[in-house]
Amino acid sequence: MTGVKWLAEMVETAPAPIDSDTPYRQWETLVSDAIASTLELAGTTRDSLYEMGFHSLYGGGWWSQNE
Amino acid sequence: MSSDTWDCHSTPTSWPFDLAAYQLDLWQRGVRYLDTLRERANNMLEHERAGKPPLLDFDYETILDGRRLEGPANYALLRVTRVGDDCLEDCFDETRPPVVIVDPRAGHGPGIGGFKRDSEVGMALHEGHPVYFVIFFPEPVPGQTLEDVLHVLRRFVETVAERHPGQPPVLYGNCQAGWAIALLCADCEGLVGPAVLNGSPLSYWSGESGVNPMRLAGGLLGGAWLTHLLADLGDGRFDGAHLATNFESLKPANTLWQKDYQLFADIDGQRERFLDFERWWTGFYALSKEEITAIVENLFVGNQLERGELQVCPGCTIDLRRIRNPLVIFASSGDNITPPHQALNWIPAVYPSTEALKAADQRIVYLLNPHVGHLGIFVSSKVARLEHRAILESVGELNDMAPGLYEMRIDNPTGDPDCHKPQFQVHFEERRVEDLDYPDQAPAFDRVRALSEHNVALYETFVGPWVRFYTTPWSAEALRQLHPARTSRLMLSERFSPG
Repeated sequence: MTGVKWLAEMVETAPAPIDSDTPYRQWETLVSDAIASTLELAGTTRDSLYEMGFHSLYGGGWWSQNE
Repeated sequence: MSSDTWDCHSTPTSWPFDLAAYQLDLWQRGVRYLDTLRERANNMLEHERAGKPPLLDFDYETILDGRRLEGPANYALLRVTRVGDDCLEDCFDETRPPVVIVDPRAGHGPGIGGFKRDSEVGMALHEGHPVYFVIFFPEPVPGQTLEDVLHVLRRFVETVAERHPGQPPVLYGNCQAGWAIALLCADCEGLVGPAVLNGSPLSYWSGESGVNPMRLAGGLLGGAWLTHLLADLGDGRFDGAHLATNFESLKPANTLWQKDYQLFADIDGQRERFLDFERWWTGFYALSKEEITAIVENLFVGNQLERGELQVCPGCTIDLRRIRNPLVIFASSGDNITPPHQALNWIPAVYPSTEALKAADQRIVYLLNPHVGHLGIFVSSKVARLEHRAILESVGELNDMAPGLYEMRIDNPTGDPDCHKPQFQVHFEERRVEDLDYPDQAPAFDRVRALSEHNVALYETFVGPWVRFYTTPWSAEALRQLHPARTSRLMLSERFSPG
């Protein structure tokens, strides 16, 4: 990581930022949003499965017959 | 792609140059992003080497060290002595009661309530209150129990009350510190003033289906046995990194992508904020096995607090009906760790009707933010400037209110920075306890509790003794260092990846 530090110092002496509304940056944002949405969906699906699993395990059925 | 797309920014002949410019920018951001992660890892090591001091942005003096008291606990009481500007002297008002802010012990270190100027500490100072802050140290006193912690906190409150005669302190509890404050209020009748519980769960089984999965984890993992195992593997200490990882797993989109992309996309604007926050987020603190198992078994899995069954020591059961000081409950609908259900649903469990609440001569005020996330309740500057300032501004009125349940509404912030002028119009609208109607899922959670008790008994009989026999301080330290929450960050430090 020493090389990264050296590179970062070099980059900071000659920054070349571009506007955030250029098409390439917009594509980048779109791709990022798509990745985030996919992960969001995976999280929501996982949470729904947790909920389903929890209620299948403890919500009644076997338990109510054996309690 | 059609050339129309390029109209605003490129000509058909300039796109190779634009592409090159973008690639250079992308590479430069990539380098600086990696460099920020390198610096985060270095900060993490530096913070550990410094003994993980509290990350308060204010000067302070230590009033009392809980490790030196009888029945010691790894807590300390600080008094905030100075803030960078001259606000402390300008705004100090000796008629204002002291405010005692207690940070949560949920894997991370203390300081989140005073992380920056626009924070709970900053707002309390701005409103003229003497401010005390309760911190804790990275390692628990061996064998430290909840009883020890509560006795030490009680001693802190008594000390502050002695220093400000006739002005019972306002207690300000963040997240997990909220239930500790509720226990303290039930135990310290007459000694404390209003208590403010920020994003604090008191009703652990409540939550919205599909939105608050954390309350289900105990059931899906078979109860509290895993906590016993992890604490045994840690040689009697439970590593806070486990709790931090648990929080991070709640929102995979944020943990795995958005947090890093926000930094990458705006490296100049986000770098300092990211590093400041990560310095707190990556400072993992430990709990003793006695503490964490009591918390998980009695509160998270057992939900004993709202049922009046929580025993902190032989013969002392906590009854929330003994709380006589006014309570302010601040929760957010955007909080997926402590949703309003968990912050408020204990009220109908303890006071079955509005009449019962009034007959108990109790005043409970709740304030709801529509969208801020869990950490935002304590960290967000906007929340500090609006909600926390409004709460502190109106805290004096709470003692004079008629008993009942109220919703606090904040209108018309003036934007006036003058600390001697009211900032808001705050009004309290009366509500009925019966209207706090969250779905009851108690039978399912009761089954989890029963299963958890069986599993813990099985673990402690057949597995725990062997785990404890084979665990050494070295193996515990090795597991601690190899925790993914540490390795994934530290591997980017020059110490671990020098090349």
